[in-house]
Amino acid sequence: MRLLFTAPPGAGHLFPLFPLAWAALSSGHAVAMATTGANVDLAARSGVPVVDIAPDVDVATEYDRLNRETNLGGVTDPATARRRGGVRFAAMADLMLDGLVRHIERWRPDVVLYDPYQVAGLVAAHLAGIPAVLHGTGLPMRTFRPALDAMTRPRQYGLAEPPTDPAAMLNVCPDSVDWQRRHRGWPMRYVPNDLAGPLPRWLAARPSRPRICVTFGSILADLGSTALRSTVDALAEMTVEVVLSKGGANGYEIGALPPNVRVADWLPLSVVLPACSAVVHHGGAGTTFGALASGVPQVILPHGGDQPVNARAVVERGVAIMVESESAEPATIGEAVRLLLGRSSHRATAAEVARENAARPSPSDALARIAELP
Amino acid sequence: MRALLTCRPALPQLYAVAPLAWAFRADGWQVLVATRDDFAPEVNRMGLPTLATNENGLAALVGDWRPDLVIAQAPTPMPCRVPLIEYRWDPAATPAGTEADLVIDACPPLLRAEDNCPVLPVRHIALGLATSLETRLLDQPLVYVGGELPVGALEKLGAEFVYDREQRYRIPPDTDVVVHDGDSLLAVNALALGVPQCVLPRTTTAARLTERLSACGVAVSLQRDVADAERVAERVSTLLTFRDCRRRAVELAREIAARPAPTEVVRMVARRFSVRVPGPARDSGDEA
Repeated sequence: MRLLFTAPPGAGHLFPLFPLAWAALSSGHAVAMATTGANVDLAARSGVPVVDIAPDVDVATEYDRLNRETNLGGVTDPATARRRGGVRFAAMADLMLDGLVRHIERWRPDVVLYDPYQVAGLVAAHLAGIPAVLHGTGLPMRTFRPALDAMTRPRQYGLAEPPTDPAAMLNVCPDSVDWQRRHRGWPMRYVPNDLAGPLPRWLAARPSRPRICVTFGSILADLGSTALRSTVDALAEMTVEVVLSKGGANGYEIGALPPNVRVADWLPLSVVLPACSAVVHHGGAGTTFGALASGVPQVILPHGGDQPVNARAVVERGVAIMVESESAEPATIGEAVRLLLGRSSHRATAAEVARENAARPSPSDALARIAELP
Repeated sequence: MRALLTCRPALPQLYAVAPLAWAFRADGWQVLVATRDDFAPEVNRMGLPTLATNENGLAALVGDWRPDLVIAQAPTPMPCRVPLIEYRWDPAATPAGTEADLVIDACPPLLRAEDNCPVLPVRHIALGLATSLETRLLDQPLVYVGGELPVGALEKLGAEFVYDREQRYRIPPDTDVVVHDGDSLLAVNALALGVPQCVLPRTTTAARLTERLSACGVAVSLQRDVADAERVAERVSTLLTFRDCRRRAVELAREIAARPAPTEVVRMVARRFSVRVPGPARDSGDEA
């Protein structure tokens, strides 16, 4: 089988797709990742053959412009977030559609797998008459309709109405975390994944004190600084070992660090999180679901975008405590972490959810179902 | 579930073992690849996190990280009772006796010299460095050339060429002929892809492998001392014209594809060593 994966710019859209891509490659299938911008390099650095579907576009500049115009930081109103998100992802999809259509004509995949925001994937598969499969990356969601509806490029292909539903949807959210009971599509195990790198030797050993991971994602460089400082201050006085990952972001201004905090520019969370007793983060889908799959209780300081929604779901499930990031005092954060480390039920519940996730069909199982699509 | 793999600092070793590492990752295992510090970036480029180590450091590392399984290319006895799996793939290597609890072998049996050690077979997956996909424009035969070889006369064959002088091992899937110097990974990659080979063996080990490839009917060989550009072009032209080698290569590729995939082998191994699949491996023992 030939599987074409596709994701819009942004590492968060890309990394969740690799476990299925790897399962396909190691089952002998042909795989290609169609993306653009900085994601091209990130895909090549994950061992997956990649094709740039908008090579003539200065994606970085365009993406920055769209980011400024449709910034979701601090936006908590869902309708505004959907509208701005629609504009942004439709613009990116219009830029990528021609390249995606051309690549499908040449490479002739049997199926297209797309991130829910990569609406060009659904359109291009529809134009080629091959099945499209939505690959969830967190809480269950359909194809991001506001972007699909706002695309203009499909009209050049004589497509008056956007296609409706994909042939299948892969749902990576454990049912018990899906508190709104959406349960969409075929269940698949969530496999934590981020950019691979070296694990510092000291992190391979079991900690003598509880280890707390702190990360505020890769796109929150300036926005995360205040929350980060409060978190560091909160943990300074506790008998814990703190590992702070900057997630590859530059521009963090943290100031002087207490002796129990160690910083890394970047850490492979798939092997770091499982040895942690708690994680303090911003509520990005990758970290939220990575912690869920690793059985680690969470303190979440959401900033904007999908983060409050992710936080809500894991708080409802009893594996996380949410702290409003604008008003986050060190004392509040410290109290939340102490609660997770103490006698609260969060730890046991987190382990329960991790078991639930691990018992769901694996990416290989999902692949077997995809192979049966017409 | 934690799997620790070791990788000797060479690209063929990495590309040969990466499909198994991916299969563990995709099934939800934590995976670390122990390798030499300066080779770690190459391993990371396959999407795999690393832990820097040397031969002596492996035991300490196993003691610290406490993996459920160790998959080693050159197994050393383990200090604690961790199941040890030896991973083999290289048809040019002579398997020695092993301390391992299990041997997994990706080498196609036809290419193995005599070996009595019972093994769990695994399908070889043809991998190389992932780069941007080239899109072919011409409807011409495609010839892949791996390494520095006398191929100056190939251009007149009316074919398209991919020169992989740095040996990054990525054979395009629709290649018609692979020309190489007897490199083990190129040989098995071409086999798994069902592509006939023209081999100019560089070493005596490579020459022995080339003999076995020729005996299987999937390769033509050319001694290095008589291999000039004209003769290489002649052999490649033969492979492009007469389809016997191609047919045999496709047959053998089907046999390879019938072996258990790495994704299946990971499940077999988990069952065999009773690694509990549901639930995270978590015994941090840190009471606050």
